[in-house]
Amino acid sequence: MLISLNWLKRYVDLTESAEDISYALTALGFEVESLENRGAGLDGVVVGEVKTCAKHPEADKLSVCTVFDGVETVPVVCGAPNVAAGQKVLFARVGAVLPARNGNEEFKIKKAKLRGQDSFGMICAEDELGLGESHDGILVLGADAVPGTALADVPGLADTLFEISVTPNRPDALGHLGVARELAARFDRPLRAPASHLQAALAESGTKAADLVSLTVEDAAGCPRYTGRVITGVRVGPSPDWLVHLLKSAGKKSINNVVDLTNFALLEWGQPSHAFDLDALAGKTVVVRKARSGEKLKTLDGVERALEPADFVIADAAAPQVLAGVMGGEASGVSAATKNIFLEVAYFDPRAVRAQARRHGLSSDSSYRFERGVDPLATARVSDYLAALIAAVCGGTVAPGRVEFTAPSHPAAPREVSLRPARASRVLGVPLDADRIEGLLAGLEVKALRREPVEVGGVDYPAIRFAIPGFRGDLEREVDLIEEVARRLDYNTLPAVLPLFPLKPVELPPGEAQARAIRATLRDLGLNEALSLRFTSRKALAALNLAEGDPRHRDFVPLLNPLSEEWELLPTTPLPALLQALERNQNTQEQDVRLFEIGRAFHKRPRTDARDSGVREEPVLGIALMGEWKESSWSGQKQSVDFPRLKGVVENLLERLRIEVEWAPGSSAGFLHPVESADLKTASGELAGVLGTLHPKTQAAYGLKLPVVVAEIYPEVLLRAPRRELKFKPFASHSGSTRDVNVVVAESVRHADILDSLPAKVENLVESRLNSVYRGKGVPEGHKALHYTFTYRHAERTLTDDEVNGAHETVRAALLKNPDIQIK
Amino acid sequence: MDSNNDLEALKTRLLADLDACEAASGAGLDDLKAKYLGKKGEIYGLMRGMGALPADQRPVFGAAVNVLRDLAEERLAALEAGAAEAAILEKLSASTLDATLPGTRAEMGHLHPLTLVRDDTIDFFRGMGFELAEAREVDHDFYNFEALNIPPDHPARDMHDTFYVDENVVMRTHTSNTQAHYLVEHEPGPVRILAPGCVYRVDNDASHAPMFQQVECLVVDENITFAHLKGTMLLWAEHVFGKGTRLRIRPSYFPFTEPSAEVDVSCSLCGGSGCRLCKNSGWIEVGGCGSVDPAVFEKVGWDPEKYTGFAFGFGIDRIALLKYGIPNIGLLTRNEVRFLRQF
Ligand SMILES: [Zn+2]
Repeated sequence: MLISLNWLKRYVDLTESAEDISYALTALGFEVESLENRGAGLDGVVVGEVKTCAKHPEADKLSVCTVFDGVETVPVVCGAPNVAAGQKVLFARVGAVLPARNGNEEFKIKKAKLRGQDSFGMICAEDELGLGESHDGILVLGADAVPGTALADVPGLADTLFEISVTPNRPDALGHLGVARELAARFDRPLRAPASHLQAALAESGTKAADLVSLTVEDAAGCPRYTGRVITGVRVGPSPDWLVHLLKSAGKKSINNVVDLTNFALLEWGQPSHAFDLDALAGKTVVVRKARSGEKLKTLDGVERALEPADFVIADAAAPQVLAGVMGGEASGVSAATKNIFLEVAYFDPRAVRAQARRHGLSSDSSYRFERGVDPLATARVSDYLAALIAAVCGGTVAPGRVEFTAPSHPAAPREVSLRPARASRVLGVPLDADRIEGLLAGLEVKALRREPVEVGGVDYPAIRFAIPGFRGDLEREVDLIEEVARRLDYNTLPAVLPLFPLKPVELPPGEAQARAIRATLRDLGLNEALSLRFTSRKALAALNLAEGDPRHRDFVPLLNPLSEEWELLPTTPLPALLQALERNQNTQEQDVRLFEIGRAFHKRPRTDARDSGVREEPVLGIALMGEWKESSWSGQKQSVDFPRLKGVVENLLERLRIEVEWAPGSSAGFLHPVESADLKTASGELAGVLGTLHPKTQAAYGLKLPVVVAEIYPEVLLRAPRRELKFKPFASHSGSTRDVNVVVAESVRHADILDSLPAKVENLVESRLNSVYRGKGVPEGHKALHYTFTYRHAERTLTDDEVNGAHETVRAALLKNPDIQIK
Repeated sequence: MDSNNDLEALKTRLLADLDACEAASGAGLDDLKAKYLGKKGEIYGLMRGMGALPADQRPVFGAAVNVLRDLAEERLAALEAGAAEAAILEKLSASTLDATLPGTRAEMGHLHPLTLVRDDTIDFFRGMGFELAEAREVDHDFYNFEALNIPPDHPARDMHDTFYVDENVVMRTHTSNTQAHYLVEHEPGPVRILAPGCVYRVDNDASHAPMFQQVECLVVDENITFAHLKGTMLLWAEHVFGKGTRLRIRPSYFPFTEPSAEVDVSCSLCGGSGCRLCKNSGWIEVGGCGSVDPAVFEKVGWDPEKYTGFAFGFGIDRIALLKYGIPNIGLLTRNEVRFLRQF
């Protein structure tokens, strides 16, 4: 909402600086988002009078003028099409500095020659002076402007504008009067009522309104209060300067005097109104009713709208003329030819207006205010005021009386609300007595009626009964008044106190504690934590190369109103986002990218109760490694990421979590290499994760060029798995003896097959460790050499050579018994 | 006496040899040691020759030989120590290592900046006895809106650009849904909870992301006041932005709190005098807060006459942006390692 200081000053005397007023507005709850001093610093700009104006001899689009600036008459070349002799204009003298705008720097006026003609100054358009956006031509002032008057002294031109944000509970502040009331209370100053600006009070004469127009309200739910007035013989034309300037300050273009006055009332009271051309209303009839199917209405924005039976409209005898509370129609609007006006001021139901504004995707200044609730008690008052104003400004006669309707349910008197001073003290934490509270609320026109006890939960409490003004529809309950008390005190003056609580130990929930352990471990292993937006797409899921029936593309959760196709649904796995992140890193030539993320997977499931979301959410840990894992910061040692590297990371993680899993080689996950992959299963057989080399198809679909390995791990499954207890185990004081064996096997024989060849128990054998895998010279094609070290140890004594050799012979014999194994 | 002459001659030779050895930086030290102090060395030779002396001269001669031997041992030991020292020095100075080389570091990993802020916030409030409460990110309209006194078709819904999953199910627009869940799912009594998590709004520009993180605090008891809200928030603000941070609390509107307020902190960069960070206002908006609206207690079946409370919430993203000087919210979710490695 754009608030003009000039406008505010109609209702309250404000001598404070713009900054102080801005601070006050913010402290009152109307956050000032921007502040603009319009017309400030334009020292060399004055009112000028165009004495003569002739076509430039050598340029069609230029005029050569002479301008009197109060001191002298100078030649000026002007490019505006609307310049003419006799006009009062804003004239920038030589030396004046025009403000920077549209990215151009500020501009100093100099003596110039334009196509051979002298030009000593500039006739300005409003945008050139920062007074508005219009560049339709030069700004032409009223005839009574005096040449030589500084811009700052031309009434209404220079202004201070506050862009304030008004919360939905405060429709009263959607008009200047409401904002002025707040400032008057804060600065403890009287508020002048708008009617005090009227030259003459409402004067009625001629035929009664009720004889000129008939009103029927069929939809009392949508329209609980309606008033109509008739003004005959108006002269539709341009608005007076004061009106043009005020509207311009508030960001509204002048249209004609009648429309401008309805906009003026809207921006003054926050009360929308609508002026009809009475003679365009068929049957001189106004009906507030539901729309009928098939009816159409061309609204003022030029759009022809198909109406629905749920809509409610203002119609004449023939057809809908206004989408009630939202926008008027072209057919019955006020035009230059209009002579007689039917003026509507009404209270429309907030929900009904909101519903139809949304139905038609149309939000207007009117609907915005009706949705939030206009003053239900001010309808007639605004009707009288605006009718008088129209007659005063546009001429014409106000017909006696109003045609009007009031639903029985519509309030006729202010609402009353009780406030217990003790409750206010208890909520705010500051002692407050009745006198203080009454004094504070009086400034907001919330009047104390009497002191009378109020009963709450069977107990009588001392209380004050307040009458709530109609414009404060938000004040319905005791707590609403308590907030007003706090606001009047200024929140910043309230004390800050620490609450006292009994001691209580607080543990992290298991999931959170586990998440912390996962993050810390993976960080310590050299991985970076990623955080992705939790949106994905069918396309991104398809690019994973998932198998038929894979849960990752089953029961996913699409959004009804996604931001884009790329973010059309909620993820079922963190992998697409991580793979996309790898690609972004690839684009910046990163060679070593190690990411992990504890993301979230969303799946549809049956609702458990009426208020259930019907969506299962669970954390999923994703790991994605790409490129060459640098072993140290600069030695150049590095190794392409591969399955063992990733498996090691996961093993380290599980070691830290103290969870043991079974590794099942060859995962069925479609995005993994079928051989270089594995499933993780907990002791109970639950799938705890999958990991492996990225499938070449997935790799290609995500445009990844370097080697990539990925894992997906399910923290909730791990949370259910038993954790190894931390318990000391005695260790042998003897070092033990080692024996090495080199075995040569075909590529198809796995490490696990070799170890499986050993008997379940070999006396004193405590460790069988793989040291290396070798292919190449000395090893036949299609084979590999594995070097193992076996450690033999007795818990209490040193073994003799014979004992060690005996045990090792058992191992060798067992290996040799396997026909696939050769010992070198 | 021959033997005494021999002794003197030996001493002269010994001293000459020792001086020579010393001059040669200990070269030939081992030979010298064998020559004089060895089993077959000259000093032992004198000892053995002592038998030829008259018995009365033997003690005097023996003592003189011992003196000579001590002298030899002492000088040789000193020469040995000197030689060892020299050898170490030589070895040390032979190193060609360039100590200006960078250390051999492992590539360390990094936590996301939002995790740093989130964990810090959790720990701060946990230290004061707040329990961690978690709620769903996809939730029924009831918990995200209705229980929080935001009925359907209420203009307050305009403050939330909501992602819908279906007519009644939304991506939560704030962590306040946790309040509703907690109060519905617990018996009336004292409450001190902290709810961090991701929230969603239909918004995407330089300063708004469609997903961001919030933390919400809720305190309920029989005598909780607005003053307690201010006291608690001030502690938090000082923790995050440093001692001496001031709060500015200005009226606002949230249907689930009343009084409702927006919270600004004094700008940590300029201290309040105005700078680019605070857009010359001296203040930085960090969150919203208020006393729990009695309507919320009514909706969830708690006695609004008996219980009062406060809630406040702030954006973790916003705090991280301020704290680490991150210029653009989009950087937080691009997951570029050149960004992540900085934290
Ligand atoms: Zn600052």
